[in-house]
Amino acid sequence: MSWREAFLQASMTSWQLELFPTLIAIVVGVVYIRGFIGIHRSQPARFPWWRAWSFILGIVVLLLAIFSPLDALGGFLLSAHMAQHFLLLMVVPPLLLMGAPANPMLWGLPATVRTDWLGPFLASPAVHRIGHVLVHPVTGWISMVTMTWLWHVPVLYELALVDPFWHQVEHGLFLGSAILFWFPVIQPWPSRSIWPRWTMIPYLLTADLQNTIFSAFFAFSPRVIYPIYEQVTPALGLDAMEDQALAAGLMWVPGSIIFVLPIAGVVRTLLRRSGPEGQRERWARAQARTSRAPVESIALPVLGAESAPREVVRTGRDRRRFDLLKLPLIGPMLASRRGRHGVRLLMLALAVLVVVDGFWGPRTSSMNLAGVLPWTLWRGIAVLLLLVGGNLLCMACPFTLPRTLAGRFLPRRLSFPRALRTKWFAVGLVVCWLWAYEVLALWDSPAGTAWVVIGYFVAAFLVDAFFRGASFCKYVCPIGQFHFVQSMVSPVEVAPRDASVCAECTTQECIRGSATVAGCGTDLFLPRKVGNLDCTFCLDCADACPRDNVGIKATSLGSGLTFPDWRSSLGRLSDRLDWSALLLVLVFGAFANATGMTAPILDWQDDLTAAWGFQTHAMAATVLLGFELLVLPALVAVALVLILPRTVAPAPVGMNHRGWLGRSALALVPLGVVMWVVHYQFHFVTSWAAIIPISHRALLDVSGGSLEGLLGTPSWSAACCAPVPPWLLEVEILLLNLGFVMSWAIAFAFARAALPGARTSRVLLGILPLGVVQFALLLWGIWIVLQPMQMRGTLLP
Amino acid sequence: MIHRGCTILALIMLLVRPAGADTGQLRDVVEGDGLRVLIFSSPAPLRAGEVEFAVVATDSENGAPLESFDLLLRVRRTSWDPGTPSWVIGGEPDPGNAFAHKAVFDIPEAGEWLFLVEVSSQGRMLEVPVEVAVGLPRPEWWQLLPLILLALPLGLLVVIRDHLGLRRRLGAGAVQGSAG
Ligand code: SF4
Ligand code: SF4
Repeated sequence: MSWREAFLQASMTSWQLELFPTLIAIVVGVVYIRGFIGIHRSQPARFPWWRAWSFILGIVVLLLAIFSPLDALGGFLLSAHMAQHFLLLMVVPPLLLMGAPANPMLWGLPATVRTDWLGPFLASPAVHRIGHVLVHPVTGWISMVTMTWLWHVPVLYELALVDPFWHQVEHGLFLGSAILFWFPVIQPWPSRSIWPRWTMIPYLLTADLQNTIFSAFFAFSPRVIYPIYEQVTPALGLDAMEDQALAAGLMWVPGSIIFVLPIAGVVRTLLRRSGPEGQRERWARAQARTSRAPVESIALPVLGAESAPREVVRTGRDRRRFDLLKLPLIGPMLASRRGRHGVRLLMLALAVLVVVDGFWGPRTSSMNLAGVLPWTLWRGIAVLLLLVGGNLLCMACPFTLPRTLAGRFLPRRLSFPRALRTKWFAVGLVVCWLWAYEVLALWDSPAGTAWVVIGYFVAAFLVDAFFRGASFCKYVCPIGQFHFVQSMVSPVEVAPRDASVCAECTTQECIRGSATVAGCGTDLFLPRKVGNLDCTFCLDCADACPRDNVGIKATSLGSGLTFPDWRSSLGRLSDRLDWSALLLVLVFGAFANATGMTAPILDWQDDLTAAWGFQTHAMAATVLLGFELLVLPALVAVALVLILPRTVAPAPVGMNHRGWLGRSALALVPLGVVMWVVHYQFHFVTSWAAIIPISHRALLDVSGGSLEGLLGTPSWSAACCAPVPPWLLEVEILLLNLGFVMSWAIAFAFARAALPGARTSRVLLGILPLGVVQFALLLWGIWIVLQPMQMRGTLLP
Repeated sequence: MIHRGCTILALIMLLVRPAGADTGQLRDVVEGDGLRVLIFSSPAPLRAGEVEFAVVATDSENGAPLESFDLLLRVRRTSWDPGTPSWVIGGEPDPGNAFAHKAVFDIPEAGEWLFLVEVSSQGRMLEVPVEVAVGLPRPEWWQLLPLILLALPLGLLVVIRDHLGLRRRLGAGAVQGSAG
């Protein structure tokens, strides 16, 4: 192969796609386009489509600059590295800014992020002042020129070549400073120019002058500036001096063109403004200003938790709010009773497979459907679905089929005993569930798993055969409680589409039921329902509502957690000890459950078992779980209940000590949720492939081996030794951080509601004890993910 | 004049530093048996734990990058007891950089280590000894520290957001100097 062919082949195949930057680019692009479409409809003249294309092209060029062969070649050729810098400094920023991204990006974000999170910052005079300084032409000019020169000082340049971290810092600073530089030149709408437009001419000319000096320095340097290229470039059969001259030419000629081109645009604008056309434009703009309200004003409500009304009062119809039931394909399927029954029947079939394989399949759980289907696949998918789609898992639950069956043939007239109409029974079952999972190693026992499934069907049938409504789901089912709590963080809930329709509704079929459909089995009245607690997403309310007024609607993130007041069927959540206990057990349970699979804890249990002279680690695991699930939460709860009313203030609504306990428990929920997600995702990502050989084996078993000729033998390597992907740890830590921040935000909102006019520092100090608990949980979670893990669900020991 | 200016600037800027490239720190450039081999290591500086050796091989005649070659790494302590076998690690093409092959090795402890880098292609073979000083390992969390501590600035943003909201509600004068 000739040099040219070999070089081209190596260059053209050197692409390196990285997960995080690509994901970020995709998210930014989607948010921009989402916002752009809305703005383009209302202001087509100001936002023509070429702006969107420019922005998207900017993102594509950015990805090309960092992932294309330029990046690999940059290690060998200065010219390639300069081409990369050229794209980051001179091409990407103008393209992005020509997309006028501020408004499309804002309007593309979910409303809750825009108003609740960005709103206070955008409305702040201090942020305006900082923004003003940042986009000032002096800042832009100095920052880009400084960055350009600074990062080409050999020490820093070669630091970036040696260390990927510094290489990313270098690229980030190039891009950031270049955006600041090009900002006053492009002046993206709705920003206003700080200096008169004509000043952009000397602005660009002086930048071009420094670029000329910079390029000339490389072009006329008598020696190779970066010694690395002196060694590396000749190895590729090229001359380092010639390559350096080429790099200089790249910066010089195209660079100058890009600096000078906008000058022509500025001159054209100035000429047009001074002519009669410009006068007409100015007059039209003045007219528009006096006759029209500003189009782009953003509503910026600052939501404090307890600044909400004392009872949830839904008002008006928000057509823009996302409704899962309106999605094509999936919406009609979920909205239809038959569709939902179809999903439940599918889940029932899977449950039957688990039971059959659990009893009659192999004893090794990672070779058995009962080992992998529920403990690896179902749990992994469940935590994600609960997070993004609300309690869709309960909707698909096969254990509700006995209820449907019982409803057909049995009277079901009894009310669930009043004394048991709390969460205490469920709390006990959740604790037992977590204990049995760990101590009886359910995940490692196909037969045990099969018995659990059968027991579940029997219990669900017995409870729902005699008692009205969905008593099993509401008061008994530990999995249901897990779903309710996990889906509190979800951004969707079953809610009325139009609150004004409910306000005028006198029949209230959603709770009372209609002639053909029962009302809500968990006694939730839609107009007063808040969040996903106790909602099984059964959509009986949707079937019963004669006005087609029920949807699965988007809601403000975490709004179900910060609402302190009366909720339909639940009362005031923060005052209910049973709910606080359930939340705490599920939060601490998340950490306890994951801790139990870390190598140091398993070793410690082995040592303890040996020291105590037991055969199994059951006692050691019981002691540890007892501490993590009962003692530790109780200690934390008592400490917080004693401290918070003093350090913050008495709870503003409801009972004082109980109220702070409930608020603390609610403020820990996001941390618990992410810990469950992190834990189950670890198993899912490392072991999902086990289902392939297991299904294969099950098929062979069912066929009595007759399919072996066709299918071959199962490839058990897929059930073993799956490497942990390198990105997983980073994603886990990121998720834990996000959970912490959400928890902290909720805690802070509760404290602010108790101290409405107090100084921020006072609120911060007051709520610090709860913040310390949250931070400790964050560190506990990070410690867990940094430990070697037992590879449950694989053939590894 | 321009020449002189550039020379002065170059002298100011040319400070002594380790040579590097995107594949890591350049360790050696060696030529022999028709091959030219560039050896890089990362991270820089080397520490006990996972290290990566990247090797670029070109034809010493014309500098054409070799499309396929074999890379073998023999690793041992410099103070080597001949009775102790070396670790042998095979290299593989770098998926993101077609010029390079790379081999990853988990250095168990700090100290002086010898890497024998063996490159062979179509009957040609070159073995390059690379002696490296390996520093003490950093715990795994050290590298992840920026990510781990991300919660702190994000938590601070929550406080600032609340503070801004308070100012909006009460008016700037009521809470002057009360930044959290
Ligand atoms: S039946 Fe429909 S309209 Fe009436 S209260 Fe319930 S959800 Fe609203
Ligand atoms: S009927 Fe009740 S439990 Fe079922 S979706 Fe409606 S509100 Fe939720």
